[in-house]
Amino acid sequence: MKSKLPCLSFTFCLLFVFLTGCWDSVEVEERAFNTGIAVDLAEEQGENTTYEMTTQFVVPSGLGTAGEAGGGKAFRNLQQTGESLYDINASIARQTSEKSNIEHLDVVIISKDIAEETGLFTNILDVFVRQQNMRRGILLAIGDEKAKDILNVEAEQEKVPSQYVTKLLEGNENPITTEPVRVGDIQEYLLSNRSFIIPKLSVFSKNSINYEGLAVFRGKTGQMVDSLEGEDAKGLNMIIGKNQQGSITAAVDDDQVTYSISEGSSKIKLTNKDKNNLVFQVDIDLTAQIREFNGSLDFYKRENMDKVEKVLKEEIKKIAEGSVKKVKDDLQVDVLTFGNYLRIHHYALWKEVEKDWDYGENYFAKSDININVNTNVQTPGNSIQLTEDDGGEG
Amino acid sequence: MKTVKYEDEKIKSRDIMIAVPSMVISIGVLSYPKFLAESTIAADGWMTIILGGIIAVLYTWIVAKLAVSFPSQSFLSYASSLVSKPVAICLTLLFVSYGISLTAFEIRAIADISHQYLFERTPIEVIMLTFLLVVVYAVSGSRAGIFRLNTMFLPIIFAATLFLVFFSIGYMEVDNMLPMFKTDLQGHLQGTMDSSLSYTGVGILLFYISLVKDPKKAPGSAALGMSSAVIIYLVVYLTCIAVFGDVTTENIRFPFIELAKSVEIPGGFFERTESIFFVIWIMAIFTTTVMAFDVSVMALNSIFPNITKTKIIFFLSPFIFFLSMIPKDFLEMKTIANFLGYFGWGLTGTTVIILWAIYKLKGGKQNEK
Repeated sequence: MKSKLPCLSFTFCLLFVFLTGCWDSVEVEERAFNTGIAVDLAEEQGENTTYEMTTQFVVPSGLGTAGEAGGGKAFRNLQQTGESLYDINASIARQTSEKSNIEHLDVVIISKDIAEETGLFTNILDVFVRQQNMRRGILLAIGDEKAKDILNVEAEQEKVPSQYVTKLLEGNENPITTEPVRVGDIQEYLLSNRSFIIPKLSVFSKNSINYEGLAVFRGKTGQMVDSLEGEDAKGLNMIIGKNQQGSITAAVDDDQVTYSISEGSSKIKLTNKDKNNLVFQVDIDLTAQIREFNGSLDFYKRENMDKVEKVLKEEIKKIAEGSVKKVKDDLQVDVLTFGNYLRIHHYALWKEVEKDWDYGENYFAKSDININVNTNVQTPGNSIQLTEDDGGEG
Repeated sequence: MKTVKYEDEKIKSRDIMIAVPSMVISIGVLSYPKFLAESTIAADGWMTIILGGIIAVLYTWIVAKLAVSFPSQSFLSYASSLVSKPVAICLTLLFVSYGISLTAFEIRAIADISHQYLFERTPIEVIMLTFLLVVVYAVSGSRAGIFRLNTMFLPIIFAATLFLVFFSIGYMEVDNMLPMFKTDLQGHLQGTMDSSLSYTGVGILLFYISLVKDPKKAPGSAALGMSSAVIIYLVVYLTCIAVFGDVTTENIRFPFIELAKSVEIPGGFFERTESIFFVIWIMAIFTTTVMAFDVSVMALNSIFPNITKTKIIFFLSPFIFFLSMIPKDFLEMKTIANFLGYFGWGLTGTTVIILWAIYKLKGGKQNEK
């Protein structure tokens, strides 16, 4: 036993070195959790493009606990300007007393100015997929004016603005919104040159943010070309068959009627395979209910229901054709997933047109899209009419 | 050093069944979907994984079959009886060098990945040294203990992988899997090559089978173990493609790690799942490293029966440590990974073919009673 003593004491000394923890140990109290980032163009531009980055840190004491509300603000925003985001982050670190922790970053908001400039959007995105602490699930949004303003909106129900934005992006099921767009998805789109959409937000009032519409990006260049709002965004969702649930207002014989769509689907078919004149047929299938009706019709009569269905059908067709016109003819950018459809179902044809799909030759803009809508209005709601049908009109 | 003594140093063929996937599943599982996605279109790689897998399973079965033809004989002794002692010693030394370089490679690779994702400021040498010390500790103990460790770790590795796959279901998109059957022949060949290369380390069977109590069942068990590794590879590959799509998978260095990073367990209280998976992957790589080291020690021991096992380990460890510091960057690591893949297959393949041929020529009577 005695002979082993030096050996053992040496081992214990070694253990002290290895068991004290690693170089990277940082106590949780010393960490500042970064939950949101906004990137704008700086007011003063240098030789290269200068960005202004706003990072939002959670201030835990402001959050309070489940039992009692915390006092004061639950967040603080720090800003710096610079030419590289990683660099700016390092400058921001000089302002904080804690160690910045990026691993809980939820949302990145990029201003419209940057997105519309050639190449800047992709440059910014690079750090979010390359850096090892970044998760691919970080949500992306485009800020209509200054992105940093969105991170300053203090809503009553959410203590931290970036959390408000996250919930807004994740929880909205409404025909002018889209599913949350993540950094990882954008890498996929950019790599395969597929055009894409990103939610566009704007500051609505001092304490609310508005989900304004969808920013349209050309996949080839990674540049924002325009945005779809209102009806155009609705039409887009009708065609791609996602987020179709929502309300549609139309008129039945001058009486306003509002439908809510409870479920729906869409199907794309290729009817002409000549690559210079591709013809797609989109079948939209919807189930709806009547929510509001200002006229008086007896819905127990088949012909009245047929009439209501027909009106909805025409309205949807009009909306969808409107967005096809805007997206295909004006913007010439395929965010309607026709390219993806070709890739999956007509791979040989896709290989021919891939290089010139929505840029160059632009086979997409040359194609024709026919919309065919099927609607089924299931119920007129709880009551038949509010005022009596005088039988005169109708 | 005090170690637990087991009743005997014998293992069952069931332990071989567990050792094979423990050996095969290592660092490659984190990155191979990237290389497979490069050579195939959409999710077509599933065919090449299965094809490569069938080759690997057959190969495992043949290796095991050869080894069980000489029950309870060490590799050196039956190889000597077939191809003369000097050649057998040369072959054994080649296996030793393969085992040592594989150990060094795995240590460096796990240190690189931990350095990249977990410990940014901890020097890479310290991570390597710590890992190496744990490996040395495992190897210097009882050999049967290593097999018991495998039995304990493997179910956890499998369960964690399936758990990860289960939680990625929400992120999968059918569009990413389509279109099917569009890869050309060259892509399939390249893919089969890539996927069979990731099933390395079958060579351990040549040494470990001599410890098996019931050798008759060993080839079947080994093949079964290999098939389970193939299934895990297939599931991981399909999940990566379904979640990321083939173009993105091609552009991610470690698709499986990114998969763990993108998955969020519903509820929001558990955002960073990958920290748990890191522990489990390190376990998977640990078992591989331990077995690679142990086989080298066992092989050296058969050449120099008079030197104790601990001495061999203490002689080899510093050497392994310095070997693992040689690669300069990740590109050199990639070259070494490829080299080790070919070396492993080539060495085990040639050895098995030569030994089988001579065994058959000599009438295969030595040990058939």
